[in-house]
Amino acid sequence: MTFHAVSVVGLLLFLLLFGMPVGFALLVSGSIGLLWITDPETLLGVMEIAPYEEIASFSLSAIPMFILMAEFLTAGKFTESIFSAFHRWLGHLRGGLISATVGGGVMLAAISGSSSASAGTLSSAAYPEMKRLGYDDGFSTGALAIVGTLALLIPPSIGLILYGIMTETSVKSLLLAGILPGILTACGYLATIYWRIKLNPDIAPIAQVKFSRKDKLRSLGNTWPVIVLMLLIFVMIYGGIVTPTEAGASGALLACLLGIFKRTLDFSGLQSALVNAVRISAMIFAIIIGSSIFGVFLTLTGVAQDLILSIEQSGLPTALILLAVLALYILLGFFLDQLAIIILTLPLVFPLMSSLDFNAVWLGIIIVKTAEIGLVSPPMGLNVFIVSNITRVSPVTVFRGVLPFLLMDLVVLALLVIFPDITLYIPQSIAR
Amino acid sequence: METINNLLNWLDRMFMGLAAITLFVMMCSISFDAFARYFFNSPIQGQFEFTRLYSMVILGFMAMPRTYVLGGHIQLRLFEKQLHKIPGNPAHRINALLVATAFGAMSYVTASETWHAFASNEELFGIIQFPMGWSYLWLPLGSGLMACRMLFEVITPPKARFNPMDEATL
Repeated sequence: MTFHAVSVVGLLLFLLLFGMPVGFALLVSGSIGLLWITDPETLLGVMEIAPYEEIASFSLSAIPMFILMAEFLTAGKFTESIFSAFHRWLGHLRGGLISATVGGGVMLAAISGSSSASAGTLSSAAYPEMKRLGYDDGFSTGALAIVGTLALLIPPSIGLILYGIMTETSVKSLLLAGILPGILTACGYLATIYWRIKLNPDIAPIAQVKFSRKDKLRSLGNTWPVIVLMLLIFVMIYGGIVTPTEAGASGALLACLLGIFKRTLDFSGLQSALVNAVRISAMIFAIIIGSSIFGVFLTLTGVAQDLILSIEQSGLPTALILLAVLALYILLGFFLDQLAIIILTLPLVFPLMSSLDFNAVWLGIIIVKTAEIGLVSPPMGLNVFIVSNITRVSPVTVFRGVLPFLLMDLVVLALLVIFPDITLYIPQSIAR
Repeated sequence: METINNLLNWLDRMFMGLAAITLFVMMCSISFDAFARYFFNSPIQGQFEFTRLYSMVILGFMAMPRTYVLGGHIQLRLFEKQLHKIPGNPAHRINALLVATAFGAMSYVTASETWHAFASNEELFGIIQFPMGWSYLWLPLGSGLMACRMLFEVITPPKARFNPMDEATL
């Protein structure tokens, strides 16, 4: 059976290399695999039930709700106002604009959960000013690309919600666990910025224009909807008042109403936000539909059990297995989207790591953090291409600018692996 | 071919529009349910089943064809340029044929299930008896349109997809 599994995984990789969308490649290879090890009736039976059972899920509806909230906030121009406020408060310092980007990125991450939306919004808001002030292109665009990745870790993170649903781990605990690693990552980025400017001050000139106190205070006035929304979601989820799905839906509705009330969201903005949210959700659901067929195939081959058994018998140290798994995630991150990686790998990786007694919540944070690195790694780093597309700076320059931040990401990842308490402190404290 | 393409595009847009409306309704119904439960201790009956059985299925299957046309599905683009240079674009045709077959089979088998559910008045057991036919219906429709779109691309492969980072429209 392992031979069947290896052959079909090979076919899956072949189809992916030939440009077939991930969800469809999973569907096709899983179907061929099922046809190979069973019969056409079984395949049709699986096709009839598995995709429907997978999609008709209430907990899965948290994903489109949080995506919609992010889209409404972007369409309602609230996300731009966050950066604008940070700019007014920090812009006069050397490298202040970049620090403002990190601050804006943390706040955007706390309301959006969508890495690409965060990178796109910050790029269009911050880059023109950075360019005008003479910031180094690689430094500024690298920072914009990396800051977007915070959304994947700081709650509400779509990656963590997906991990929780797929592994039946508490989404609430996962979201709580993401807070400290997210803050640690943001601090790491700030340290990298400080270090880079100290080594070469020319990459970030001091701004000549200073904003008045009145200007600074006025800028805060535009950010209150986002701050209120952020606090409300935090209190609603962590206070146990609502489920993550309900928090996402209420957040989306509030973001929509705030946009209409403040006249920043018109009908075309509303339509565009809805279509964007549907499109992103459909992309994720297509992978889930494909993986539902592929998952049945993998289960029938028993390859997960074989893998666990052979690793247990090999006597390899668990630390080495963890390192191998993390290396696999970093490698996959070079080529594939993070959500696709999570859906693709969890059916095999999660049972294996659970059998080795790794904490499911900690593992979720480590996997999502590792997958996050892929968002800015060459050759496929999605955030790099989004930033490059908006700023018109070549992807090579953006990748070059991202490198020091990537090194910091690896340091943070190492800290999270060595000190699991950083991740588990908040969820365990609240559970007590 | 132009007429078939226009018809497929029209259907794609209709399905996407339905999914967008469904998403909006879903947001409102989940929010109102949470609001009514927390403030009035009176949740909306059947909201959970409505979201699970109808909204999610519509969202999952009806938006898939348009998302594909907009280039929104994640794919590796490592060899895209080289593959497009091969005369007749065989890689895309083979991919499209495989996907069309898989979705065609899914559409066929779920259409039978849907037909059976409507014919036998199948309902969900509970306080509100939701008709199951209306829950299953979106699978054959979404996957059927996906199969048709892919079959069309076997005959006429597209020159290039839209940039997925472009602004989405209906």
